[in-house]
This record gives sequence, C-alpha cells and structure tokens, in this order.
Amino acid sequence: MEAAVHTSRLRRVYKRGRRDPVVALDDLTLAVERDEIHGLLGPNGAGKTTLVKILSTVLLPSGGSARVLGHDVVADTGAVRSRVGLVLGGDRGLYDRLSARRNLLFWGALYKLDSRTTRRRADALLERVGLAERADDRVERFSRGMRQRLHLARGLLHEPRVLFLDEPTSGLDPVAAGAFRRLVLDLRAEGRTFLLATHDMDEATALCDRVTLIDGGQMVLTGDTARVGRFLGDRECVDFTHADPAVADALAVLPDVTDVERRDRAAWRVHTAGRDGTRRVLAWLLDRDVLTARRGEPTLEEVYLRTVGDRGMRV
Amino acid sequence: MRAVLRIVRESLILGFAEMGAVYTWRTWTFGWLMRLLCQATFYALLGRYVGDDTTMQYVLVGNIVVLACMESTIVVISLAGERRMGTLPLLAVAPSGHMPVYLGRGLQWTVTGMTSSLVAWFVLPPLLGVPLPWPRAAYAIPVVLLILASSYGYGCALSGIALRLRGVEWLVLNLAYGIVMTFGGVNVPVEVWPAPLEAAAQALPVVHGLEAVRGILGGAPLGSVMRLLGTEALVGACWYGVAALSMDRLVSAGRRDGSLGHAG
Amino acid sequence: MSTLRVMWQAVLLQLALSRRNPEHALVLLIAPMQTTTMMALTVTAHREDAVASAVLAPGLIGLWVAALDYAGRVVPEDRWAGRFSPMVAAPVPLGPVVAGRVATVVLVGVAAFAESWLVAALGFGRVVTVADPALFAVAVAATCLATIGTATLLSAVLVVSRARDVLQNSLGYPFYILGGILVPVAALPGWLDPLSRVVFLSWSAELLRDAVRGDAGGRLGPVAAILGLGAAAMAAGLWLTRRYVDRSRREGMVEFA
Repeated sequence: MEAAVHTSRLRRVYKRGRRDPVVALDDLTLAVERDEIHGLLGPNGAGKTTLVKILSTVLLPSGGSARVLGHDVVADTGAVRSRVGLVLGGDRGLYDRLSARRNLLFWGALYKLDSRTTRRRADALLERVGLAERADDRVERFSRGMRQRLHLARGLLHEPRVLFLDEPTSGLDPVAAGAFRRLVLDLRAEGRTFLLATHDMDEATALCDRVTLIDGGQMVLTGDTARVGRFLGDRECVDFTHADPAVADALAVLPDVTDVERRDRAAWRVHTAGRDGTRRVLAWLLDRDVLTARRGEPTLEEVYLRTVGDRGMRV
Repeated sequence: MRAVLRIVRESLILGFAEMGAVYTWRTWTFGWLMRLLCQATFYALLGRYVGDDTTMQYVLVGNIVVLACMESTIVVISLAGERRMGTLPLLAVAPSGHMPVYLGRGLQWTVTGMTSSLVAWFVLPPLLGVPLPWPRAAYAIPVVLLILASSYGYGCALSGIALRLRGVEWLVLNLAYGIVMTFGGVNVPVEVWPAPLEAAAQALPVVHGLEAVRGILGGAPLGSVMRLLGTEALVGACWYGVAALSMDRLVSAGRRDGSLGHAG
Repeated sequence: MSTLRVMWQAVLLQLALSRRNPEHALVLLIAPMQTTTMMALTVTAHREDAVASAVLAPGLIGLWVAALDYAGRVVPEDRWAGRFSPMVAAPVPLGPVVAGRVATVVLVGVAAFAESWLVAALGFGRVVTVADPALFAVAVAATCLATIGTATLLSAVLVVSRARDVLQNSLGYPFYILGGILVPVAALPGWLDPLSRVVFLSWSAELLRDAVRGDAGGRLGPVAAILGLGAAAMAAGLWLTRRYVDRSRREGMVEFA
C-alpha cells in the first residue's frame, strides 16, 4: 500500500537578498506509512517546520517532489488541502475575540462544510478535546494547553486522514501534554496518520512508531523508535545505582567497559562494547552486591544527542 | 454560493467581535460617531465662514458622504491584523480559497459606515441650518450604499500594501481616505485641481458617486446621474479586481518565499 | 539621577521608538492634506484674510494630535509591553519620564506647522509672513508648553480609561471646533464661549493669528492664559500619574507580563 506521505529528494531554499541563500531542506526522502505516528526530530532550524509547511501546501518546494495520499502537493494542491489537517503550535492562529465554538464554525465555513455538519462536528470535537465546558468562552482567556487542544479540534474539523502537527506540546505543562498525547493515540487508533514535528524526546518516545531525525535540512536517520538505538552500532549499556563513586572508578578500568557515565547523584550508566561485555559487567556488579543493575539500550535522546548534540548550542 | 454566504456571515460575526474589543455601544456612539459628526461640522463651519450657506451645504454634503468611504477603508486595519494573528497560512490553504475571507474580513465597517453617514445625513443639515431638500435627499441614500461598496473595494486593494509591509497599516489607512477627502470633490469641486490631479482623481471611489448625490439634490437630469453612478460602479469594480489580484499574488508569492507565516 | 537627565533619556528612548514605528509619522502625513483642503476652500472662496487661519490650523491640529496619539499611548503601550513594571520598580518618579518623552513628540507637532506653511507657499503660492515674529515665537513656545502639559494630563487619563482607543480618536474634532482653530470662536454660537475659553487652543489660535496679522498690540494676557492652562493640566497630569503608580503598587496591578 502506498505510503500516506512520501517525499522524494525534497529541496527547499530560501533566498536572502544579498546574503547567501539558506538551504532549509536538502535532498530529503522519507515515507510515512498509513496509520502511523511518525516523529520528525531535529534541533531548531533543522527544517522540520519547513517540511510540514511544504506537505500542508503552505510552502512550495524548490526541488524534488512530495505526495500526500497519492496526490502531489504542487500539482494537486486542492486535493491535498481537503485531505490534510494542519495543527500549529503556539499562541497564534486563532481568533482571540471569538469563542472556541465560533472559531470552529468560522473554519468550518472555510472548509465548505454545511452549517449542520459544522455544528455537529464542532460539538463532538470540543467534547473530544475536553473543551466542551469552555466552548463559549473567548479564546483570549484560554491557557496555552487549551489553545493547543482547540488547534487540534480545528485541524480535525474536515475529518482529514493525515494530520501534520508542528511542535504541538511546546509550552505545555506535563499534565496537559500527556492529555494531548493520549488524544493523538486515540485518534490514530481510529485510522489516521500523523506526522509530528518536535524536539521533545519524551514525546517522540512516547508517541511515535517511527522517527526521522533531520539536521541541517538533511536526513540523519530513520527507523522504529524502539530500535533506533541500533543505529549507534553494537553499543550496549548497563544502568545501576550506587552511592559510592569508587565502584564506578573500579568499573572504568575494566577491559569491557568503554565509558562510565554519571546520570545522577547515585545513578550510573556503563557503556560496554557488546553483549558479552554486558554480561560480564553485570556479573561483576552482582559480585559486589550491586543489585540495581539492569541492561539498557541507548534511548532516542542519546541517539539524538550523539548524532546531533556535539554541535552544542551552535546553530 | 451558499458557502460564500456562510463565510460572509462568519466574517461579519468575527469582525463585530473584534470591534467589540474596542467599542461598546456607548463608546461607539458618543466617541466615534460624535467624532465623525464633529469632523463634518468642522469643515462645514469653514464653508460658511469663507462663503455662505450654499458653500456650507456643499461642504457638508461632501463630508457626510465621504464618511462612508472613511469607515470602509478601515478594512486595511482588519486585514493587517490577520497577518499578525498568524492565521494567514491557515487561510491560504483552506479549500474555499482565501478570497471570500479576505473580502469579508472588514464587512462590519461597511455596516458602521452606513450607519454613520445615515445618522449624519439626517441630523447635521437641519442642525447646522442648511436642511436638505426632501424627498430628493432620500434618493441619495442608495447612492451612498454604492459609494460604500466601491470604497470597500478600494480599501481591500490598498490592504495589499499593509499586508506586505510591516506596521504601515495606519499610514495606509490615513493616506487612503485622506486622498479621497482632499482631492475627491468633498470640500471643493474636483475641477479646482490642476489637470493631472483632476485626471488621477477620476480613479478614486466617491468622486463620481458624490457628484451624482449633488446632482440628485440639485435636481439634475436622470441620465447624467445614471452615467455618474455607472462610472462609480466601474471604478469600484476595478478596485475589487486589484484587490483580488493583489491577494492572489500575495499568497502565491508567500508560498514561494515562505513569508506567509511571518508576522509581517 | 537628576530629573533633567531622566527626561533626556526618555527623549532619546522615544526617538528610538518613533523611528521603528512608522505610525508616528502619521501627523506629518495628515497635516499637508488638511492644509490643502483648507487652503482650497479659502482660496476658491477668495477669502485671503482666512489664509493665515488655514495655514495655522493644521499646525495646531498636529500639535494636538501629537499630544493625544503619542502621549496618550506612551504609558499604556509600556504597560501592555510589560515595560511598565520595571519602570515602576526603578527609583525614578514616573511623571518626568512621561513628560520627557512627550516633549520629543511635540517636536513632531511643530514640524506640522512647517509643513503646513510649505504647502501654502509651494502648492498655492500663498507665502504667509509673520508681522510680529517675536510674539509669534512666544505664542508657539507657550502653545508647545501647554501641549506638553495637556499631554501629560491626557496620558494619565487614558491609562486608567478602558476606552482608550475610542478616546484617542474622539478627542480631536470637538476640541478643534471649540478651540476656534480654524473658524474663530467669535463665529461660533455664543453659548460655546465659556467652554472655548478653557481650551488653551482658543487662546493660542487667536494669538497666533494676531501675531501673523500684527495687531496683537503687545498683549501678553493670552500668553499667560495659555501657560496657565498648560501648567494646570501638567500639574493635574503629574498628580494623577503619581496616584496611578501608587495605586498600582498597592493593588498589585503591576504585572511582569
């Protein structure tokens, strides 16, 4: 079955007058399967928002092609627009002086839905995103989390099969973010595809089936979230806790150990060279009555930081 | 068609809701409307001071009719706000197209404009001692409606500037209706200006409609009045065309260079 | 930090802000258009005696609008931008800061006078010469000072008002009529006279017209009236501002938004 979203050597260049042009996307090829929640990860300026804009037809590509549900974003713009939903993050994009319900009715009119349908869906969506009680309050009084949920409701109004989310939980407190994520999972279960641009590791780990890491407009890697650790090669690690740093020092000199990392006051991570090394380190720790040891795989965060992070604060 | 009407309706609701942030019934009436009435009176008084009652009525009629233009052009502010609000990219990708929303965005100002000029039309002439000839004055009212429409198109067209440059919306607004008020035959006939200016003024809204109004009040033949109305309608239609082209280009250029999402 | 130094810093700040905000150039755009309209009416009616009024009026309007538009926005804008709170926290009285910034903006109003004169000279070939330049200068100076005072008062009034934008737009034309800046007060209905006298514009307009014509006879009474009204407004404005700041501190209306 054809992928829900497919880009082929997608390229986007921004001209900047007399200065050198900025290449926001460079030769990007990726695929998002149907009913998948796909994470687009990268630091600020990596090109995530640019990609989302191209796929939602807000922006034209400079080169390459992109297809959403079989329709080309440039040649078949109308078809794409009626099938995708764009969910922005942040405070902008809503009419502050209108109530939540009124905002939805306005957008419903723009999506050529008739009155009754719009009203029905608006009520249902407001209920779904948990805004039913505040439906008639003006958006200017909404918190960030509530605005975000309204953005999602608006994106769903015309029942698109594919949704693009651009940093949807930025600025949300953990509770609000968690609620939002549960909502996304429920929606996916009903048969929707999500492309989620984010730089929140926890979110990507919790939500996404697969992730694509981009940096400087180029794809760094792509794959299942759970197994992305594989990309670090045959690296394994052991996590344990022990109050006495002497244990860590003793470990560091072992031949199987490539690195000992302190994660917290008493929490350590030992990087080993392979499966055998892991076993030996575990045994070593057990001998010394360290019972908290367990094997771990590199997390998405580590992959991210290792491949991108050496850049530090440089953009 | 029904979809377009619904968009118009929603835009009106949105427009009035936004107005509500600034005005209440009371502040609109005693603040804004009062200002408009004083403005017309201010110039009318000059008319009487330098001339006589005839001059005063000439000036007064012009200033009342131009109120419709003044309010219609406030659409520039509404549309500029769209960019600041960040809704532009969302509007651009809506299936209905951005045009109905774009054109509907400031319709509430046409409603207020009609109200203001009507109130002034009924109240000021008798108050200042230069009553209008009725029932002829009633026939002028639909003409004001036409002027309202063409001015709105003018305002929408000029909004294109405010949408492309940041922070200029108030400048554009004041320039837009300022030009009409100064050169549009409001206080002095258009013929007073040097030929090039007079020619350029023909492209402005209000100019022909106002002449039609004066003609109606003065009992001019129907043929000449209708000709003037036709010209006013044509001028308005051209401005709408410019508005549509401008917005289309803004969106397509914005999609090409990525400026749609910016706050201006 | 002396009061003068504070004011100077405020002037610099307002200049910097004005440059970034094209809206502040509004007055300079409107003045020529108004002059054109007024001159056109005056000239086509062959009323050369009213030419001076037609040239002076836009200048006075410019000053008044400068006071309303900008000064009325100074404190509220800062409040909106969250800059108000740090300012309140600073050990400097708010009044002089506001007055200093207003002074800059009034200079823009004076530019409106110049533009108006140019339009009459270049556009209509009417060069308005001032018969009594000394008195004219005094009148302009007094008017500017009074405008600053009034602006301070307006600033304080608008900051507490919820209908700020409406007030800003509506406090123009009624005062232009009352102030007799175009059509002299004498030509208005008699019952308006007491009201006109309280608006410093009426004194300014008459004095300026007299100075242009040269028949003021060296009277300084009007100057005293202008300055008096301006000073009263300034005092009221500073007092109100002080009260507002104190109340903000007490009731916690000062946010660090």
